[in-house]
Order: sequence, then structure tokens, then C-alpha cells
Amino acid sequence: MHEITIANNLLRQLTKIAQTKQAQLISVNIEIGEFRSIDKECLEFAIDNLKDNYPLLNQCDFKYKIITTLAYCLKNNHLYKPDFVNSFKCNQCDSGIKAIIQGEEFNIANPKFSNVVN
Amino acid sequence: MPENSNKLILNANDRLGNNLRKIYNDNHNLVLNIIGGPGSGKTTLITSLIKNIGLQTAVIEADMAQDFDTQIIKTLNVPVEQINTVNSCHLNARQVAKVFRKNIQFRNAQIIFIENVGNLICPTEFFLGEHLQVIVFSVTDGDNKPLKYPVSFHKANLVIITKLDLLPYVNFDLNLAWQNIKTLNPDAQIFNVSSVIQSGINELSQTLSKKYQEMYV
Ligand SMILES: Nc1nc2c(ncn2[C@@H]2O[C@H](COP(=O)(O)OP(=O)(O)O)[C@@H](O)[C@H]2O)c(=O)[nH]1
Ligand SMILES: [Mg+2]
Ligand SMILES: [Zn+2]
Repeated sequence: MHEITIANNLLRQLTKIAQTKQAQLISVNIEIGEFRSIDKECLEFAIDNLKDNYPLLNQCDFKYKIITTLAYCLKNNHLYKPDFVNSFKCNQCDSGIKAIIQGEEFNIANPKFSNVVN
Repeated sequence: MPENSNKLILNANDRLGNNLRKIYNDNHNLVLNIIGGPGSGKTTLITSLIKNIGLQTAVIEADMAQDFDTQIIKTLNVPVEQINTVNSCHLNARQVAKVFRKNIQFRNAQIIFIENVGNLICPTEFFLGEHLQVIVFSVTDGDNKPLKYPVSFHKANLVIITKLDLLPYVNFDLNLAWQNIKTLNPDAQIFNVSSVIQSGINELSQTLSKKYQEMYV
């Protein structure tokens, strides 16, 4: 249930941004990498339940996007998708992860604000 | 998650973690965030290292409830602070910052061990400013554990396999365990240790001392 903490942290940061813009946040995309210990459903549930505590965010439409994991393999630099099915090994040469190039994100994108609040 | 200059730090915890890192560096503390399941041998390992390492140490103990581990560390006469996280499955940076404000002895410690709440998932999402993220698991946990908790093992700097003295009695393939760790994290430094027969403890102590020397001496 650490998603509750993460949700509160996120809402606090978004409030700060809204305050500097003196505006209400109307919509925002939240991008969650697959290779993070953040569960989308849990985060969504937490934000739905917490956003009323944040007056500048309570009208906001939160949209969520999962970013799939992609990595280069250790032996041959093959681009592959590490997953449970093949024990995170490269599906072409069976070697492990050299570097994850996508899937560790936790970003916001496209925040949209209303006109200035009074 | 350490600072990424061109990204907004979404997580208020990460911001605090970055501040903590600066404090550690100013104090010349080498800080380890020790993460592992309940009973994997974290406290016992910390005890062995304190006795062996020959540097000034201090310990933060985190548990949801009780202070059993703190009582154990107290017998070694090193500064120790207990954090009870109550309903939370992980430590956060704010709690660690509070310890630093409260107990000035932590400023003088050369090595600080933070024993996180027994859990292999959630703590890795909460950066405490640590220099080394350490994953602990034991031969009684099974050699497939790395593959079950890939995110934690991928992020670890050190992986410590504990209770090696029990290897003859359990169905644990040490080579496979290493392979599984390396699949996820080719750069991880892996140690086999037993606190009961004190094997691997010297080697691990030396690695930490060396790291400390490189950073601050
Ligand atoms: N046989 C053996 N038992 C160990 C070893 N390290 C820890 N233990 C035992 O494992 C149990 C849990 O250890 P503890 O350090 O409290 O684990 P923690 O919950 O991860 O802090 C205790 O009964 C320890 O005595 C070891 O190296 N060998
Ligand atoms: Mg313990
Ligand atoms: Zn490959």
C-alpha cells in the first residue's frame, strides 16, 4: 500500500505547481514505468480517494499510462522486453539485462490548468 | 531515486532524499539502506559487521512495531534509533531526516546502517539518500527470489546472500541464485555470508571500508 504515500507526495508536488500558476489543475497524464514498484490500479484508487483533500486538484482528470519495459541485453545488445515469462532474459540469446532504456519512469505529462483562481 | 536534473522531481520523498545525501556527504557518512524480507538476516548481519568493520557505526532500525532489533544493537554500544512505521511498509526520507536532527551522534558515524522494514517491494520506491542500496536474502528463501522481485534486485548495489551455513540442509542452488541476480543486474556485487560461522563477513567489511576510504579519505 505504499501507493498511498506516493499519491500524497505526487498531489503535494502538483499542488505546488498549481499554486505557482495560481490556477486549478484540470487534467494531467501520469506515466508509470512497468519496471517500478508502483501498481497503477492502487495508485489510481489512492488518488481518487485523496484528491478531495487538495483544493487545486479536486477537479482534475487524472489519466494513466503504463510504459512498457525495454532493455539491451548483456551479450549482444539486442533490444528486448524483459519479462517474467523468460526470467527477464533476452529472447534471442538468453543473456541478461545490460541496461533498461525504458520502463523505470514515473512522470507527469501535459498538465492543463484552468484560468487563474481567485 | 537520485536526482535527475532535467526532470521534475514528482515525488516529494525524492527531493528530501537528495537533501539527505548532501548532509551525509558533509558529515562524511557512508549510508547503507538494507532491504530484505522479514527474517532474512538483516539485523544479525548488521551486528556481525559492527563487530568486524573497525569504523564508527550507527544504526537506524525500522519496524512496523516493537524495538527488538534496537535492543540487540544497544548491547554493542553504538548509537541506534528506532523508527516504528506503524501502518507503513517502508521507511521514508522524512523519518530518517528526523533521526539526524534528533541524535547528533549520527553525524560522527563513518558507516550508517539503515535496516528498512522487512519487505522486498515497497522500500525500493523510497530513496533515503543512501549511497548503497543493499538487498539481503537467505538460502532458506529460495534461489528464485531475485526473479520474483526484479525491480529491487535490479536497483541494488550490493546483494548479500545470508545463512550460507544452512546450505547443506536446504534446496538452494547457489550458482543459479548468482545467475538470477546477474540476469537482472550484471553490476551488482554479490556476497555469500554466514553470520553463524562468520564466513564472508571480513570480505564484506573490507569492501565497505574501501568504499569509505574512496569517498572520504
Ligand atoms: N543459521 C543461520 N541463522 C541466521 C543467520 N543470520 C540470521 N540467522 C537467524 O535468522 C533469524 C532472523 O534473523 P534476523 O537477523 O533477526 O533477520 P531480520 O528480520 O532480517 O533482521 C534469527 O533467528 C537469526 O538467528 C545465519 O547466518 N545463519
Ligand atoms: Mg531485523
Ligand atoms: Zn540478446
